[in-house]
Amino acid sequence: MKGHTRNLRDVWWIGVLLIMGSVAAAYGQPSGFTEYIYPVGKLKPTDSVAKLKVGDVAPNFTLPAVEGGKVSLRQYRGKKNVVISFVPAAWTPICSGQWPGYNVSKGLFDEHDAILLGITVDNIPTLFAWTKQMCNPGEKLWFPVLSDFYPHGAVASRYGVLRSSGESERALFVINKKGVITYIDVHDINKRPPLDAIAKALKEVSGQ
Amino acid sequence: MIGIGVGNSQYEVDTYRKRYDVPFPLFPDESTDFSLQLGAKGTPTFIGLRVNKKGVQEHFFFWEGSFEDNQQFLNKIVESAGL
Repeated sequence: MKGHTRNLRDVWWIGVLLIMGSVAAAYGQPSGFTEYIYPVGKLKPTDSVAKLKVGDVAPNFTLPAVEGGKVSLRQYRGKKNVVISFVPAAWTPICSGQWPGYNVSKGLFDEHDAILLGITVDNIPTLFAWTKQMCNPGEKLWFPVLSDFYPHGAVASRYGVLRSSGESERALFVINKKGVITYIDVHDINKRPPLDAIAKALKEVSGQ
Repeated sequence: MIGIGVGNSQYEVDTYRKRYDVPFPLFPDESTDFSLQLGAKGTPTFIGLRVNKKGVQEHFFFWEGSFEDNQQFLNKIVESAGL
Protein backbone atom coordinates (compact mmCIF):
# COMPACT_ATOMS: atom_id res chain seq x y z
CA MET A 1 0.00 0.00 0.00
CA LYS A 2 2.84 2.28 0.92
CA GLY A 3 4.47 1.59 -2.41
CA HIS A 4 1.24 2.24 -4.20
CA THR A 5 0.86 5.62 -2.48
CA ARG A 6 4.42 6.54 -3.31
CA ASN A 7 3.83 5.68 -6.92
CA LEU A 8 0.81 7.89 -7.12
CA ARG A 9 2.56 10.76 -5.41
CA ASP A 10 5.59 10.51 -7.65
CA VAL A 11 3.58 10.25 -10.77
CA TRP A 12 2.51 13.78 -11.39
CA TRP A 13 1.19 13.05 -14.83
CA ILE A 14 1.00 9.97 -16.93
CA GLY A 15 0.06 10.18 -20.52
CA VAL A 16 -0.10 7.93 -23.49
CA LEU A 17 0.86 9.38 -26.80
CA LEU A 18 -0.69 7.88 -29.83
CA ILE A 19 1.49 8.52 -32.83
CA MET A 20 -0.62 8.40 -35.96
CA GLY A 21 0.48 8.65 -39.51
CA SER A 22 -0.61 10.53 -42.53
CA VAL A 23 -4.21 10.93 -41.50
CA ALA A 24 -3.67 7.64 -42.93
CA ALA A 25 -3.35 4.88 -40.71
CA ALA A 26 -6.63 5.34 -39.05
CA TYR A 27 -6.18 3.18 -36.06
CA GLY A 28 -3.23 1.91 -37.80
CA GLN A 29 -2.49 -0.03 -40.81
CA PRO A 30 -2.68 -3.69 -39.96
CA SER A 31 0.06 -4.88 -37.72
CA GLY A 32 3.09 -5.83 -39.72
CA PHE A 33 2.08 -3.88 -42.81
CA THR A 34 5.08 -1.59 -42.62
CA GLU A 35 7.42 -4.60 -42.63
CA TYR A 36 6.53 -5.17 -46.26
CA ILE A 37 7.26 -1.65 -47.41
CA TYR A 38 10.36 -1.44 -49.57
CA PRO A 39 12.73 1.36 -48.51
CA VAL A 40 13.33 3.28 -51.71
CA GLY A 41 15.53 5.97 -50.19
CA LYS A 42 15.52 9.55 -51.37
CA LEU A 43 14.68 9.96 -55.05
CA LYS A 44 14.97 12.80 -57.53
CA PRO A 45 11.92 14.94 -56.66
CA THR A 46 10.50 14.90 -60.20
CA ASP A 47 11.75 13.18 -63.35
CA SER A 48 9.38 13.87 -66.21
CA VAL A 49 8.42 16.55 -68.70
CA ALA A 50 4.98 18.16 -68.44
CA LYS A 51 2.66 17.47 -71.35
CA LEU A 52 -0.54 18.95 -69.97
CA LYS A 53 -1.53 22.23 -68.38
CA VAL A 54 -4.50 23.64 -66.54
CA GLY A 55 -7.23 24.40 -69.06
CA ASP A 56 -6.44 21.40 -71.29
CA VAL A 57 -9.05 18.73 -71.88
CA ALA A 58 -7.97 15.68 -69.89
CA PRO A 59 -7.01 12.80 -72.21
CA ASN A 60 -9.44 9.93 -71.94
CA PHE A 61 -8.19 6.52 -70.79
CA THR A 62 -9.61 3.13 -70.02
CA LEU A 63 -7.82 0.97 -67.47
CA PRO A 64 -8.54 -2.28 -65.62
CA ALA A 65 -9.63 -1.88 -62.02
CA VAL A 66 -8.63 -4.02 -59.05
CA GLU A 67 -12.31 -4.58 -58.27
CA GLY A 68 -12.83 -6.00 -61.75
CA GLY A 69 -13.95 -4.51 -65.03
CA LYS A 70 -12.58 -1.37 -66.60
CA VAL A 71 -12.92 2.28 -65.78
CA SER A 72 -12.83 5.12 -68.30
CA LEU A 73 -12.37 8.76 -67.46
CA ARG A 74 -15.11 9.62 -69.92
CA GLN A 75 -17.78 7.80 -67.89
CA TYR A 76 -17.65 10.61 -65.31
CA ARG A 77 -18.11 13.41 -67.87
CA GLY A 78 -21.05 15.57 -66.83
CA LYS A 79 -21.53 13.50 -63.67
CA LYS A 80 -18.59 13.88 -61.32
CA ASN A 81 -15.55 16.01 -60.74
CA VAL A 82 -12.54 13.73 -60.91
CA VAL A 83 -9.33 13.62 -58.92
CA ILE A 84 -6.63 11.40 -60.39
CA SER A 85 -3.95 10.31 -57.96
CA PHE A 86 -0.91 8.82 -59.66
CA VAL A 87 1.40 7.19 -57.13
CA PRO A 88 4.81 5.79 -58.09
CA ALA A 89 4.57 2.17 -57.01
CA ALA A 90 2.93 -0.32 -54.70
CA TRP A 91 4.77 -1.33 -51.53
CA THR A 92 6.73 1.89 -51.23
CA PRO A 93 6.78 4.25 -48.26
CA ILE A 94 4.77 7.37 -49.05
CA CYS A 95 2.24 5.71 -51.37
CA SER A 96 1.29 3.25 -48.68
CA GLY A 97 0.10 6.07 -46.46
CA GLN A 98 -1.32 8.40 -49.08
CA TRP A 99 -4.26 6.30 -50.23
CA PRO A 100 -5.43 5.18 -46.78
CA GLY A 101 -5.45 8.91 -46.02
CA TYR A 102 -7.99 9.39 -48.81
CA ASN A 103 -10.14 6.75 -47.17
CA VAL A 104 -10.26 8.90 -44.04
CA SER A 105 -11.14 11.98 -46.08
CA LYS A 106 -13.84 10.44 -48.30
CA GLY A 107 -16.26 13.06 -46.98
CA LEU A 108 -14.24 15.79 -48.64
CA PHE A 109 -14.66 14.17 -52.06
CA ASP A 110 -18.37 13.54 -51.46
CA GLU A 111 -18.87 17.13 -50.39
CA HIS A 112 -17.53 18.34 -53.74
CA ASP A 113 -19.24 15.68 -55.86
CA ALA A 114 -15.91 14.16 -56.80
CA ILE A 115 -14.64 10.68 -57.54
CA LEU A 116 -11.05 9.72 -56.93
CA LEU A 117 -9.18 7.45 -59.32
CA GLY A 118 -5.96 5.91 -58.00
CA ILE A 119 -3.47 4.85 -60.67
CA THR A 120 -0.12 3.10 -60.54
CA VAL A 121 1.97 1.29 -63.15
CA ASP A 122 1.73 -1.97 -61.15
CA ASN A 123 -0.23 -4.97 -62.35
CA ILE A 124 -3.60 -6.00 -60.93
CA PRO A 125 -2.42 -8.87 -58.66
CA THR A 126 0.16 -6.61 -57.05
CA LEU A 127 -2.39 -3.85 -56.55
CA PHE A 128 -4.88 -6.36 -55.16
CA ALA A 129 -2.45 -7.53 -52.48
CA TRP A 130 -1.14 -4.07 -51.66
CA THR A 131 -4.51 -2.33 -51.33
CA LYS A 132 -5.91 -5.24 -49.32
CA GLN A 133 -2.96 -5.14 -46.97
CA MET A 134 -3.15 -1.38 -46.39
CA CYS A 135 -6.70 -1.58 -45.04
CA ASN A 136 -7.94 -2.98 -41.78
CA PRO A 137 -9.88 -6.26 -41.95
CA GLY A 138 -13.34 -5.71 -43.36
CA GLU A 139 -12.41 -2.36 -44.89
CA LYS A 140 -11.41 -1.45 -48.41
CA LEU A 141 -10.52 1.63 -50.39
CA TRP A 142 -13.67 3.46 -51.47
CA PHE A 143 -12.27 4.57 -54.83
CA PRO A 144 -11.30 2.64 -57.97
CA VAL A 145 -7.67 1.59 -58.12
CA LEU A 146 -6.51 1.28 -61.72
CA SER A 147 -3.58 -0.52 -63.28
CA ASP A 148 -1.52 1.32 -65.87
CA PHE A 149 0.67 -1.75 -66.28
CA TYR A 150 0.34 -2.62 -69.94
CA PRO A 151 1.23 -0.98 -72.23
CA HIS A 152 3.49 0.02 -69.43
CA GLY A 153 2.69 3.46 -68.00
CA ALA A 154 0.81 4.52 -71.14
CA VAL A 155 -1.62 6.75 -69.26
CA ALA A 156 1.11 8.18 -67.03
CA SER A 157 3.07 8.95 -70.17
CA ARG A 158 0.09 10.67 -71.83
CA TYR A 159 -0.34 12.78 -68.70
CA GLY A 160 3.39 13.62 -68.70
CA VAL A 161 4.11 11.95 -65.37
CA LEU A 162 6.08 8.82 -66.34
CA ARG A 163 9.56 8.87 -64.85
CA SER A 164 12.61 7.55 -66.66
CA SER A 165 12.70 4.64 -64.18
CA GLY A 166 9.27 3.40 -65.33
CA GLU A 167 7.37 4.46 -62.23
CA SER A 168 5.02 7.42 -62.34
CA GLU A 169 5.37 10.68 -60.51
CA ARG A 170 3.37 11.31 -57.38
CA ALA A 171 0.89 13.54 -59.15
CA LEU A 172 -2.62 14.86 -58.75
CA PHE A 173 -4.96 16.09 -61.46
CA VAL A 174 -8.35 17.62 -60.80
CA ILE A 175 -10.75 17.49 -63.73
CA ASN A 176 -14.12 19.22 -63.79
CA LYS A 177 -17.38 17.78 -65.08
CA LYS A 178 -16.65 19.19 -68.54
CA GLY A 179 -13.48 17.12 -68.66
CA VAL A 180 -11.16 20.11 -68.31
CA ILE A 181 -8.09 20.01 -66.07
CA THR A 182 -8.38 22.60 -63.31
CA TYR A 183 -5.45 21.64 -61.08
CA ILE A 184 -2.14 19.83 -61.51
CA ASP A 185 0.36 18.98 -58.80
CA VAL A 186 3.37 16.96 -59.85
CA HIS A 187 4.60 16.59 -56.34
CA ASP A 188 8.04 15.87 -54.92
CA ILE A 189 8.00 12.06 -55.07
CA ASN A 190 9.53 11.90 -51.60
CA LYS A 191 6.67 13.76 -49.98
CA ARG A 192 2.97 13.19 -49.56
CA PRO A 193 0.81 15.97 -51.04
CA PRO A 194 -1.06 17.69 -48.22
CA LEU A 195 -4.80 17.19 -48.16
CA ASP A 196 -5.19 20.96 -47.79
CA ALA A 197 -4.24 21.50 -51.43
CA ILE A 198 -6.75 18.94 -52.70
CA ALA A 199 -9.45 20.51 -50.53
CA LYS A 200 -8.70 23.93 -52.03
CA ALA A 201 -8.70 22.56 -55.58
CA LEU A 202 -11.98 20.73 -55.00
CA LYS A 203 -13.54 23.83 -53.55
CA GLU A 204 -12.59 25.75 -56.66
CA VAL A 205 -13.81 23.10 -59.08
CA SER A 206 -17.15 22.61 -57.37
CA GLY A 207 -17.67 26.31 -56.73
CA GLN A 208 -18.63 25.57 -53.13
CA MET B 1 -4.08 10.52 -23.96
CA ILE B 2 -3.08 12.75 -26.82
CA GLY B 3 -2.58 11.94 -30.49
CA ILE B 4 0.18 13.16 -32.76
CA GLY B 5 -0.36 13.15 -36.52
CA VAL B 6 3.04 12.40 -38.02
CA GLY B 7 3.61 14.44 -41.13
CA ASN B 8 0.07 15.79 -40.96
CA SER B 9 -1.11 19.36 -41.38
CA GLN B 10 -3.61 20.97 -39.05
CA TYR B 11 -6.29 20.50 -41.73
CA GLU B 12 -5.53 16.79 -41.95
CA VAL B 13 -5.65 16.36 -38.20
CA ASP B 14 -8.98 18.20 -38.10
CA THR B 15 -10.30 15.90 -40.85
CA TYR B 16 -9.23 12.86 -38.84
CA ARG B 17 -10.79 14.22 -35.67
CA LYS B 18 -14.14 14.81 -37.39
CA ARG B 19 -14.11 11.49 -39.24
CA TYR B 20 -13.52 9.41 -36.12
CA ASP B 21 -15.05 11.75 -33.55
CA VAL B 22 -11.82 11.61 -31.54
CA PRO B 23 -12.49 12.63 -27.94
CA PHE B 24 -8.88 13.42 -26.98
CA PRO B 25 -6.54 16.20 -28.16
CA LEU B 26 -4.79 15.73 -31.49
CA PHE B 27 -1.78 17.69 -32.69
CA PRO B 28 -0.07 17.82 -36.08
CA ASP B 29 3.65 17.10 -36.28
CA GLU B 30 4.13 18.25 -39.84
CA SER B 31 7.93 18.09 -39.86
CA THR B 32 7.90 14.73 -37.97
CA ASP B 33 10.77 16.04 -35.82
CA PHE B 34 8.87 15.65 -32.57
CA SER B 35 7.81 12.07 -33.30
CA LEU B 36 11.31 11.07 -34.35
CA GLN B 37 12.72 12.51 -31.14
CA LEU B 38 10.34 10.30 -29.21
CA GLY B 39 11.63 7.29 -31.13
CA ALA B 40 8.55 6.71 -33.26
CA LYS B 41 9.70 5.15 -36.53
CA GLY B 42 6.33 4.06 -37.86
CA THR B 43 2.67 4.43 -37.16
CA PRO B 44 0.85 3.78 -35.07
CA THR B 45 3.24 3.95 -32.14
CA PHE B 46 2.00 4.14 -28.57
CA ILE B 47 4.26 5.76 -26.01
CA GLY B 48 3.56 5.99 -22.28
CA LEU B 49 5.29 8.88 -20.59
CA ARG B 50 5.66 9.59 -16.91
CA VAL B 51 6.35 13.20 -16.03
CA ASN B 52 7.59 13.71 -12.51
CA LYS B 53 7.42 16.84 -10.41
CA LYS B 54 10.68 18.08 -11.84
CA GLY B 55 9.22 17.89 -15.30
CA VAL B 56 11.43 14.99 -16.36
CA GLN B 57 9.81 12.60 -18.79
CA GLU B 58 10.39 8.89 -18.62
CA HIS B 59 9.13 6.29 -21.07
CA PHE B 60 7.30 3.51 -19.30
CA PHE B 61 5.61 2.06 -22.36
CA PHE B 62 6.52 1.76 -26.02
CA TRP B 63 4.52 -0.16 -28.60
CA GLU B 64 4.82 -0.15 -32.37
CA GLY B 65 1.99 -1.33 -34.60
CA SER B 66 -1.66 -1.94 -33.99
CA PHE B 67 -3.15 -4.30 -31.41
CA GLU B 68 -5.92 -6.87 -31.34
CA ASP B 69 -7.70 -6.54 -28.02
CA ASN B 70 -8.50 -3.15 -26.45
CA GLN B 71 -8.75 -4.38 -22.88
CA GLN B 72 -5.56 -6.41 -23.03
CA PHE B 73 -3.74 -3.43 -24.48
CA LEU B 74 -5.03 -1.12 -21.75
CA ASN B 75 -4.01 -3.67 -19.12
CA LYS B 76 -0.50 -3.70 -20.54
CA ILE B 77 -0.26 0.08 -20.26
CA VAL B 78 -1.58 0.12 -16.70
CA GLU B 79 0.79 -2.68 -15.73
CA SER B 80 3.77 -0.91 -17.30
CA ALA B 81 2.85 2.27 -15.46
CA GLY B 82 3.08 0.39 -12.16
CA LEU B 83 -0.40 1.46 -11.15
